[in-house]
Amino acid sequence: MKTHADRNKILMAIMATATVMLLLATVVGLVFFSHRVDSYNGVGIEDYNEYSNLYAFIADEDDSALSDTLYGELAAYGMENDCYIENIGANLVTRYSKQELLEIAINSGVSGIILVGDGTEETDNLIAEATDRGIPVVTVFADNPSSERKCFVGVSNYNIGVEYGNMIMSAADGITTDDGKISALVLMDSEYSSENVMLTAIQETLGDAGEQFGNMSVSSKVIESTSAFNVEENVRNMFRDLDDFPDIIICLSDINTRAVYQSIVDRNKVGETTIIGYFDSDTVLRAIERGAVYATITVDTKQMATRSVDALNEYISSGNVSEYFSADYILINKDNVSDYLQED
Amino acid sequence: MRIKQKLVAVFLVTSIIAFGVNLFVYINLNRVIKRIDAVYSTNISLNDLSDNLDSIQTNLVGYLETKGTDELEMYYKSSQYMSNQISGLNDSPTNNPMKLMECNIRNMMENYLATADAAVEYKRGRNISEYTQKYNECQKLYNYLSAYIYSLNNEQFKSNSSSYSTLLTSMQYSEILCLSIFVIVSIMNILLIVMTTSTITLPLTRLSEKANEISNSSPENVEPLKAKYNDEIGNVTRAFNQMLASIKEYIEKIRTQMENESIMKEKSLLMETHLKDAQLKYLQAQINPHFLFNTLNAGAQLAMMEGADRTNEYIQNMADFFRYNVKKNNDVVTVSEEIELVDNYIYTRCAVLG
Repeated sequence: MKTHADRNKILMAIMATATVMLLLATVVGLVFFSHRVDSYNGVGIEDYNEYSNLYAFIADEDDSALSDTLYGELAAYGMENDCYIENIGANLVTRYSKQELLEIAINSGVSGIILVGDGTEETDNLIAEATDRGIPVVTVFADNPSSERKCFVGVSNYNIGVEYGNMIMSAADGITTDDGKISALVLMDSEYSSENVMLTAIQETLGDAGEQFGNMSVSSKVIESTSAFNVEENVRNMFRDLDDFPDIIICLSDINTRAVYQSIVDRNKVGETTIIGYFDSDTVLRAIERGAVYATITVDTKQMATRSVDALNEYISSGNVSEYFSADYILINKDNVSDYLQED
Repeated sequence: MRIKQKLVAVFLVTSIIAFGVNLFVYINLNRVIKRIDAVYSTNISLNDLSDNLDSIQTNLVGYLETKGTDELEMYYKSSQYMSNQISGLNDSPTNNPMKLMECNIRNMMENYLATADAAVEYKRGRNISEYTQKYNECQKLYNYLSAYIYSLNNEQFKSNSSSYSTLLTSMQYSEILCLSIFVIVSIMNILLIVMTTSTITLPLTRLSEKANEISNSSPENVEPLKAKYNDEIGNVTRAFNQMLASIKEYIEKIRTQMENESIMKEKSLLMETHLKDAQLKYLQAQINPHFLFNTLNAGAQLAMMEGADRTNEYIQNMADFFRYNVKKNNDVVTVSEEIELVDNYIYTRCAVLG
């Protein structure tokens, strides 16, 4: 009889504990559930930080990987400095031209604009309008020298041109042709001055090198990029139309580098033609690792982002800023490509 | 605790638990449903904004074309409504794309309204080139705004749809959760009721078993019950135990009494036997002197008939002596009788001794 009574007591205790735990679990579960429901209410709308300044970033129309990288660096550095950088037009369903994006930015009342310049008069006028409305404009990568922009943050195109010239010479050392003549083709995005400066610097560097490279023919072509996907088509058409395939191809933009590399791979010309590219996109880095691309030059986007945001902040706080900030460029070839691939 | 209180407590506790769980679940589900209802409210207000923008643009165009007063009135109404509408939009830079778009829409809308007002003013002043220019600016801004509102609507719709599906999933989970809780709580409640009522019924069952045991066998071998609770059944159990103890005590008393009685009976029987025996012996004792006296008397008479007077006298004295002994064994005797006895004794001794 005693054991029965004991068993009953133990059972009662277990039951009571289980009931209490169940009740606790129920309450905790329901509280957790209601918390989850609360957190999903207006997901992505209520969770944000406010910043004192809003800057607009306006890049070229094509989706260049370089612009994306720069925007990432800008956004990260901006948030550290109490300003938010908006990639104007990125969330819109319609694609707008650079000028239209500038108009949107001006009418949206941003505190400053970071613009990839294009040297056109239309852009100059819009920069003037922004200045009238008290919005400072900083140009990056490429400049609008005759506009009212407050500052230009970029690499020295002449120095990059000299570096390209040196790379062409070192690449040409390993090339032997039947007639002893080496042809180099420089592909430009536009005939805009910054790329022309690079071309001139390349030609001058090769000319100064003496007789050894005197018989090298350097030609240039502009790959028009009027719409999103036509760069690749234009590169393909250009190669088809060429009588003599160049020994060295120098690309002065990221999209050109990728398009040329893909085209060379498709035409089975890897090894016959040396490609010197621009920007350290993943495709280009892997191509360098495999030996399909000889080398590439990229700009220090982090430094560029830091300097552009600092320039705008300085102008807003003091009313003045230096007209030019230089950013460094980096040469990547087979020797140091592993460092950058590891970073990725 | 009394049985009534115990039962009331059990039913009250289980009811309160069930009621509490129900209430909590009901409130939560109600909140979820309200949220689901409110999910698309941002889209609705954006559509309203877009409609109002269209109305402003249409009335602006109408006024610029015909200078109609109706259009102007409608234009002012719409732009006033628009001013109220955009005052609710976010106006500070944020890292949330949707809030940022709201900020852009607000600023652009303010510019649009200012430009449209300027166009209306120029139209009044009949400054054709200015109002045409302002109208063109308005048109551009209208296009940008439409694109922005459309894009924001789209983004919000995506976000809201995601919230909606999340809420629906949450609701499904909550339904399963609630059902499970209901089932478990009900089972626990039933077990609780069963266990509590068993604390009432189990002692009753044991009591009835004991009663059966007592009626079927000797109460002396029945062990008393343990009274664990202080309720009515506890009291009944204690009373039962007391009764059992009393029964045992009475039985013991009766047994002792009966044993004493039998001993007494035995003793009285033994005494009776002894008495009878004594009477027998007494009777026997009485029979012997008579025979002796009769014999002696016969001897005396024989002696007298034979003329032996001395023998006759001797036998007579001897017979008197014995008779006295038998007869006066227990009675009170007089001195004369004793003297007579002594005379008889001396005579007989003298006769023996000569």
